[in-house]
Amino acid sequence: MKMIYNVLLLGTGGQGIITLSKILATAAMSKNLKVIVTQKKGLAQRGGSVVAQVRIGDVYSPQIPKYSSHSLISMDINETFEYLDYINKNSILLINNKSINDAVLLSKKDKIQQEEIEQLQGSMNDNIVFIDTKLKNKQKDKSKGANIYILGVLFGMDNRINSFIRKDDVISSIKKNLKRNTELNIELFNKGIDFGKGKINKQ
Amino acid sequence: MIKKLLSGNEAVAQGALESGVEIVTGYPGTPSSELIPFLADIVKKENLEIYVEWSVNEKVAFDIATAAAWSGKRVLVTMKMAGLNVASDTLINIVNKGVKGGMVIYVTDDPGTHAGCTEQDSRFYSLISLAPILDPSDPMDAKKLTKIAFEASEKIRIPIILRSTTNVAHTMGIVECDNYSSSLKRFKFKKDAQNYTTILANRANQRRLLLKKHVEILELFNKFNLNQLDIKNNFGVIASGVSWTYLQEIINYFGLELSTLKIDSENPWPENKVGKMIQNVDKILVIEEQEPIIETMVKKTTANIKKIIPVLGKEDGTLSRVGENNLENVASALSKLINKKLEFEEKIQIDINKIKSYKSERALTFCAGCSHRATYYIINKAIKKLGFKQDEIIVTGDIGCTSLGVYKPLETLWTEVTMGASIGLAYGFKIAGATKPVIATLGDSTFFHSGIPPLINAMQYGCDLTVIVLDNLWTSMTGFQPNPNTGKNLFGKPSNTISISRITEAIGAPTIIIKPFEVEKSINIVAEIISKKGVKVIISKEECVLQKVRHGIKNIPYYIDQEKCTKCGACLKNTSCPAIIKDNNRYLIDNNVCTGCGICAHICPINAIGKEKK
Repeated sequence: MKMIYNVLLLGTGGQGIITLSKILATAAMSKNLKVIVTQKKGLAQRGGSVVAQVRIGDVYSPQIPKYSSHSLISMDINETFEYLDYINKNSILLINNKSINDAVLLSKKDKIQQEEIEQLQGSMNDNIVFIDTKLKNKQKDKSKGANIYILGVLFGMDNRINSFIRKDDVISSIKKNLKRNTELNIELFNKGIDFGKGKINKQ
Repeated sequence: MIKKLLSGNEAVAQGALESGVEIVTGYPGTPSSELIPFLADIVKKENLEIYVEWSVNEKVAFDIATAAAWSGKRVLVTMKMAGLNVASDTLINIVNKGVKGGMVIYVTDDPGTHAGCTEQDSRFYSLISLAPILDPSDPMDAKKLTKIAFEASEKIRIPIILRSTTNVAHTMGIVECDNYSSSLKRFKFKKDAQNYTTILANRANQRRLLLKKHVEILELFNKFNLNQLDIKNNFGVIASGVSWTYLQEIINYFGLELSTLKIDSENPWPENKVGKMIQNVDKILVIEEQEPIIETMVKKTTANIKKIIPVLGKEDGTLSRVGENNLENVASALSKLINKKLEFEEKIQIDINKIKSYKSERALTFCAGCSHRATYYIINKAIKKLGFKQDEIIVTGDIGCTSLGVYKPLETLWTEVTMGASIGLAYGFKIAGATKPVIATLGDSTFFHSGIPPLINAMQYGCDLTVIVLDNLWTSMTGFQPNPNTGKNLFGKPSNTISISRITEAIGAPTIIIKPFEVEKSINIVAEIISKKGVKVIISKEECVLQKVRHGIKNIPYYIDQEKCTKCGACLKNTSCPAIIKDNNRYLIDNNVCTGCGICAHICPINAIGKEKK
C-alpha cells in the first residue's frame, strides 16, 4: 500500500477552508513530505462553494481518487453531499451540522440532511461526527476558529494522519499561518483533539 | 535553493523572476489572475526593477509587452483564454516579425468551465499563429517550462505561448526556487520598417524565416530534454498537462508498466519521438484536456511513418471532449488500453447517489451590501414604474460581478456574452426592431475594456438606448484589481483617474450619476431617463463594499424588530442577501455580515427593519 493521506475540506466563503489547507500543507512541508493542495473557490463570497483537497505523501495528481479520501471536513452540512463518493468505509467524516447562507440555498433542510448522512454510519465504522461549531470562546463572532477546532478533532481521532504529521507540527504551522489570535487558535486545536479522543473511546 | 508551496500561476511568476523578466502586463481573468499580484508582491518586497501593470484590456497589454520585447527586454503578458481572443490580432501579426527579448504569453484555459466561460482550447492559437506552445502539468513543471520558454524565445527570437489549465493554474505544489535574476538589459530599438511594419515587410520571407525557426526551436526543445519518451512495453500512453499527473498517480498506485511520452509542446510537434513510440508499441492511448489536438497529430504521424495502429482517445469516445479529465476517467481509459480493471478503493455498500440528492442547490448572489443589488433593484422598479413588465424590457448584461444580476431574485438580465458586448447587443436589438426601451448594463472595468467603441457606434447612428454603468471603482470579480477609474496602481500608489462621465459626455451621450443606495430617488431618475429619446448614460456609482470594509468603512448594521416583524419574508425573498438568516421561521440579520446598505429596510412593507443603536 502506498503511503498517502488525503483530506477533503469543504465549505463556503469565509469558513476557513483555505486556511486549513495552508496549515496542513505547511506542516507537511516542515516534515519534508510531498504535498499537493488544490483549491476551488469560484465566487465564494457570492454564495459559491469552497473546496480544498490536501494530499500528502506519494502523490502526483491534484485530485483525490474517488472512494480514497481518508477524511472529510465539512464546515457546512450542505456542501458535504457532492463529495460523498470520495469516502470509503474507513474514512472519518467531521461535519458542522449547520448550513449557512440561507439566502442562496434554494431549499433548506439541515435536519433531513443530517438524517440522510447518518444512514452511512452502519456501513462505515461509525466514523461520522456532527459537530456544533458555535464555540464557547470570547470572540464576538462565535463561529471564528471553528475550522481549527475541527482540525483538532481530526488529529484526536485519526492515527493515520498522525503518522505523517504530529500535533506539534500543526501547532508550529498554526503559528506560521495565523498571525492573529494565535494562542486562542492553539487552544481551540487542543480542545478539538480532546474532543476527538473522546469520540474514539466511545466506540 | 529553497522549497516553496506555490500554485501553478505563482510558479510561472517565480520562473519569470528567475529568468530576469523586466516588463509584466496583463488583464485579470479566472483562472489566471493570481500571477500578477504574487509577482508584484515580490517586486515590492525585494525592491526589484521590474515594471508591472494591469492594463486596460488584453490587447493593450499585449501591444505594450510586444514593444518591450522588440526593445530587447524579457516580457511576460498574462490573460485568460477569452482574453487571448481579444489580443489575438497582435499575436498572429507579431509572430511573423519576431522578438529581441524573450516574450512569454501566459494563458489559462478552463476545461469544465468552473469560472463560467466557454470551453476554449487555446492551443489552437499556437497552431493558427505558429507561436510555439508549452503545456505544463504541475507547479514545478510550470516553473521549469517558464524558464525554458524565456531562454528559447530569446534565442530563436519568437514569442512563446505558455498554457495552463485550471487544475495546473490553481493547484499548489512544492516548487524548488532559485534566486531572482537581475540581469537588466539596455533599451535598444532600432528603426527597421522592413521588419516592424507589415506593409513594407517582405511577408513571404518573414513566413519562411518563421517556419525555419520552428525547426530550430524543436532542436532546442530536444536539448532541454522536453517531450520525454520512455519505452517499456507495447502499451503506449501519450499525455500532456494535468493528465500527465493522473497517469503518474495511476502508474504508481497500481504498479503499472507502460511506455510513456509526455508532450510538453504540441507545436512544434515532436514527430521523431512520437514516431519512435509508434514503432515500439501496438496500441496508443492519448490523454489530453479539451480538444483532440495531440490525438490528431499522433494519427498524422502514424500515417507519415506508415505504421497504422489503434489510437484510443477522444475520437473513439474513450475519453470525453466535454469537461475536465479526472483520475477516474483516465483510469478507465487505461483499463481499456491494457485490458485490466483498475479501481482505486471499494465503494461503500449503500446508495450514495440517493443521499447525494439531498443537497440543496445554491444560487449565486451579490455580497451583503453590494451596490449592484441596489442598482438592479432600481432598474426593475423603474421598468415597473413605466408600466412595463420585466419580461418586456430587454436588459443586456456584461462580464464581471454585474453578471450576477441574471440570478434570482432580481433576474434583470437577458444576455451576458463577452466583455463590452452589452452595448453592441442592445443597439443590435434596437435596429432589429425592438420597439420598447432597451437597456445595457456593464461594470466600470468592462466599460474601459471594450464598452467605449460600441457606445460610439450607437451614438454615430443614433437610437433610443439607455446605458447603465455600474461603477464600483474596482475590477472586483477577479480579486479587486485597479482599473482606470480607481485612481491607484496595483501597488496602491496614486495614478491618474479617468472619468467615465467625461468620456460618455465627450461621445455626446447625456450622462447622469446616481447613488444606488438612494433608492427612491434613483428609481425616479432611472425611469425618467429610460423614457427619453436618444443614447443616454446613467452611472450608478458606489465603491465595492468589500473594498470599503477592507478600508475600515463599515456602516452600522440593520436589525429586524421581532415584535413588528410579520414574517412575510419580503426582505430575504427580494434581496437574497447573505446577511439575512431564516431561523425557526424568524428572520434575523447577522450583524457580522450586514454592512448597513439598507436595501432590506427599504423593501420591508411594515418598517420593521432599523439601524442598530451604537
